[in-house]
Amino acid sequence: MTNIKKIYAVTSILFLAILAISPLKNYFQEWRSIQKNFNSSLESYPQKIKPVDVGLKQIWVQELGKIDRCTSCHIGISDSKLVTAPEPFSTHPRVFHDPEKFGCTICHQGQGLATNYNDIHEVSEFWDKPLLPDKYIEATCGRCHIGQNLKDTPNLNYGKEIVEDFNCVGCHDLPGIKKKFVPGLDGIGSKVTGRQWMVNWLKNPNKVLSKAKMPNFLFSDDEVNTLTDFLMSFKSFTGSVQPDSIPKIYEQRKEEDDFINLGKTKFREARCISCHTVEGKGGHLAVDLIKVASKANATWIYNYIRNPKKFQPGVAMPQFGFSSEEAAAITAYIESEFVDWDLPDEDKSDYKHPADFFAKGLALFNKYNCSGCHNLSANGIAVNKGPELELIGSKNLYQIEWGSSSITHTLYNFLENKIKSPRIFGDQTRMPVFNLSGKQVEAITTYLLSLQKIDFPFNYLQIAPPPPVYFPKGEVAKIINKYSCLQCHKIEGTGGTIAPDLSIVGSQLQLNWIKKYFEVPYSLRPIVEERMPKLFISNKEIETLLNYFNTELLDDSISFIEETLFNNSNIDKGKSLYSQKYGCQSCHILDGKGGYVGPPLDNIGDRLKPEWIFSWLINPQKYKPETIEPRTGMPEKEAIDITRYLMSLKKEK
Amino acid sequence: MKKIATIFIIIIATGFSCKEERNEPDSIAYNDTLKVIDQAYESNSIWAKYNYDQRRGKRLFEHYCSVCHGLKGEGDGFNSYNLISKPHSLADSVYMKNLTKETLNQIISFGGVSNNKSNEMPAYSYTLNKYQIDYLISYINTLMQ
Repeated sequence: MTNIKKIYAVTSILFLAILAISPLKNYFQEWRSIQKNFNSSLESYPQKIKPVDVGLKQIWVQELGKIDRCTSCHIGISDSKLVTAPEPFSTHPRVFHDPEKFGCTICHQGQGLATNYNDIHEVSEFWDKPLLPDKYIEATCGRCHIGQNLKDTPNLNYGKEIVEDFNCVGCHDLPGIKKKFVPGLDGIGSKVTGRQWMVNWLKNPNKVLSKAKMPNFLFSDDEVNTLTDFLMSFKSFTGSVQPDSIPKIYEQRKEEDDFINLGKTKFREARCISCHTVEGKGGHLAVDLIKVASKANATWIYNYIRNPKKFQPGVAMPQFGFSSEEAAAITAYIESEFVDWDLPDEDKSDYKHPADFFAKGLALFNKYNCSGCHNLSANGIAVNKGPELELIGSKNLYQIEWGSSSITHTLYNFLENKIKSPRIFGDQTRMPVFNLSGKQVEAITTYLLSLQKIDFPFNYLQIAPPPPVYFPKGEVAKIINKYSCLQCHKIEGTGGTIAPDLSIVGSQLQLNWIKKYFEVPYSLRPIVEERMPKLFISNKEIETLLNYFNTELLDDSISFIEETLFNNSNIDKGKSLYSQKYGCQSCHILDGKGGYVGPPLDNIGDRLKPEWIFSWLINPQKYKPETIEPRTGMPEKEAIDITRYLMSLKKEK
Repeated sequence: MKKIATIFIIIIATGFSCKEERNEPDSIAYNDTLKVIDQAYESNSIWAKYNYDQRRGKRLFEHYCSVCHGLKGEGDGFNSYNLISKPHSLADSVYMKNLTKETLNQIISFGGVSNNKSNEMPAYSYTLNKYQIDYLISYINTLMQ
């Protein structure tokens, strides 16, 4: 034999050996031993379970183009008998989609085709979408369910809410997020008391007010000074509105105790702390007032109390019906109490503006895209947004700038760290530091991960219809806008969620009661922190509103219930049903006894309409899906008796 | 010729050894300290503590039950002080061991009266479906100390 033949023989044998290795490797795959383990452990289960055929298993979802082999090891996914089995054999929790029809990776992400533990479960730089940790799992719900705010994706909804609250759309394009109201900066130089406050604020807003929404831009001292000079040079308000001069009585009496006390009384009567925090107490809807007198000057405060929408169109604060004297008294009260005593006195003599402060300030203003949030009427303002985030969830790993950070390379790690400490991936980035808790960071990351390319058939998409837009007309619209009703109340799908929905208020409440309530609003629910403020609303306006409630804001199915229905019923039986059978007193106060989860029921007969009580008793969830009051399934007869009993609870019989 | 053969074999052998290495976890830079911090955060978070059913139960519990039973189920919700019979602590393992899953289901579905307990505990069978009640029970069982 020649040499060449020998070599040929050796290599052939080698090739054969190599060919034999691959089936062997397949034979020794991990999943085979897992399946065999499963088969040998079957006797330990209480119920009889069929052994599994040893072999690769997969779910093929043709429409989605997904082949997931997870079921090779996760054997019991759709077998309810295996609920208590150890991992990886146990049953999948009952979710909204059948795993057999949707596969696994559509929700969990990861490499569905892989058959090796590490390739599937570990992070790999060769796979952009590794297995999603549980805490972000709601992100994949949001891929198909766009804008639906499902009640089982609280983390995703919360993330979206925070993104809206911190006005991320000021700098990043995000789908379906509305821009939030942020105070404009026109006339800021006539509003702020002096440079010192502005310097402190720009250095670190959170140090001035612990709940400040504005993030910390980590400005250098030079930058802070330049920006302060720049901003303080804006003296005239939007549309050259002139502030009213403060009445003479203010200068004459501002240090008199009587005058200050009048302001204090009005301040309390209007329930300003329903929205504003003062000394750690009060609402969080509006700015903390504790140091406001050191921030804004008296003239501005006076004008703002008279009509907040004059300087800041679109601001949430209602226009209270204070007289000029009352407004001046409140100003005096604020000036005497809400002062930052730690703020050093201004040293005016030393400081001189550098010559080029305006150009430099404008450059800084543009660099950090301040105009993304704040309006400012000046020439040369440019929009300078950050990256678009519309498809951030589909970003590939190689597109990400990691800088010198040593973070495991996954998209969710990138997002979480970027939100937590934005400058971690390089000093040149502009993103400011937001004051967020760990839970909030988690929620925002989940929301951002949900913004992915649509790479599945469109019939899988579930897009929420655009919310109905509510347009009141004429006089009513003016009143609703003036008193900012829709900041707290919702009417026909538009408005806030703090106070009760008013969409069918005309069918619910007695008009006489509403009239009195406007005059002296009190808190129906003691546990709710936000209270209806006293708006000092005029009688004419009340009449217009009542008329509107009674003609437009109705629910026909309630209004058509005839009142005679309640005549022929048994009060005593209603009373015993109230206290014995349904135990209503555990949540409602009546005659000083009972809980305060729901509103007190004293004099309820003066407040509610009987048709409404009846409808509510039959099915509370129909009118308010998230209410805690359980649906009792009470028969109509009993509901009629209880309604009669409640209607008998009147002040004047 | 022998040389060629050995080179050939070496090439094949290296091919195999490379393939073996791929089974190791991918060697991407890990920052140990960062990992420790993340783990500490995770062990406190609900994602590590509860499974899917329990998490859903937790949300339901906080919404419907916590006003009386308290956030930790200790019977100290703000409304518990207004009740004639204060709710029993659900964290009391001695008490809870005597309540089977079926009894709990009955009390939640048909109210306290169904089990000779207070009528101040309302019935939820018309408000929650049977799965939601199961989630609630699986969460309540984690409250025991």
